[in-house]
Amino acid sequence: MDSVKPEEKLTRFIFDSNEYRSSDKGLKHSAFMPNNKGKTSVFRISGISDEEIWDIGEREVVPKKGKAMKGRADIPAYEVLKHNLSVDPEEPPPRHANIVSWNLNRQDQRLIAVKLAADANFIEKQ
Amino acid sequence: MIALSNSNTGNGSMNCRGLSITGFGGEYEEYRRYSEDENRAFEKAETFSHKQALLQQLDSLCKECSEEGWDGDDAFAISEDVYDESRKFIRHLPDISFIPMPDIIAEYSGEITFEWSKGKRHVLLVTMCGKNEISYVALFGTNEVQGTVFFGDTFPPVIIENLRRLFLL
Repeated sequence: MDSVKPEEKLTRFIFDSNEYRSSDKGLKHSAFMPNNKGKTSVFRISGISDEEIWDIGEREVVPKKGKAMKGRADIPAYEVLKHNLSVDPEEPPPRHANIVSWNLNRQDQRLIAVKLAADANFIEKQ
Repeated sequence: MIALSNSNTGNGSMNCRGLSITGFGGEYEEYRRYSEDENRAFEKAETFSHKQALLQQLDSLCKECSEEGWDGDDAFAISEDVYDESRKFIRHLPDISFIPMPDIIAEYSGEITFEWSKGKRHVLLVTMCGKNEISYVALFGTNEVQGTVFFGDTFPPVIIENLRRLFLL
């Protein structure tokens, strides 16, 4: 599996108001917080169409979450890597990767997650 | 004598819920006092109803996240202690006009975070862990702050300071 390059684009699928503000379509830090295994699940989306990206979400993430997708948060890999985080490919499913190397301190995690949310672009599902 | 208008007419005028009131004499003074009391009561009632709405929001969020794996992955359930502390936090929110009601976020760690934001890079997060201790992180443009503070029977002044910095500076 190819390693993730800084110029690659990543996306995180967004499911509810816990992760974004419907008022101003702003992302919340929780959109990027790692799970309890220290991983933030993302997909590598460089070189594929918008339709293909949404298809990945519908096929790979919606069944697991059991709810409808509200949107996605696109972010360039270099915005992640600059915080001393890594992006490790982990397939299957195809194009899946995890943001890892999070500091164990929750406050540090939140501060970085706020910055990632600020650097990401929220795209609402039509 | 008193008169109501929607324009500002200088001395001897006051504002009552967006309406300018002008006048003079004892009758005006009496009305002014009455209106100010009524305004204060109105604002208190408004804050009360905002807090009620926030408490209801917390209730439904905690119900949704009451079992492990509520995120479709490995999230911890929101514990009773975190829920109780979050309710206390809402009840203690100060009635200060510049402080808007926060958003409530369930964390995968089983904690509850209250979020205030003023744009992407001006954010304050206050997290309840259910141990009479709250942790906070804030981003003020390029400056960042974080800390932990005891949460007893009063709202921690350091959170008010950070809210002031977020919304007033």
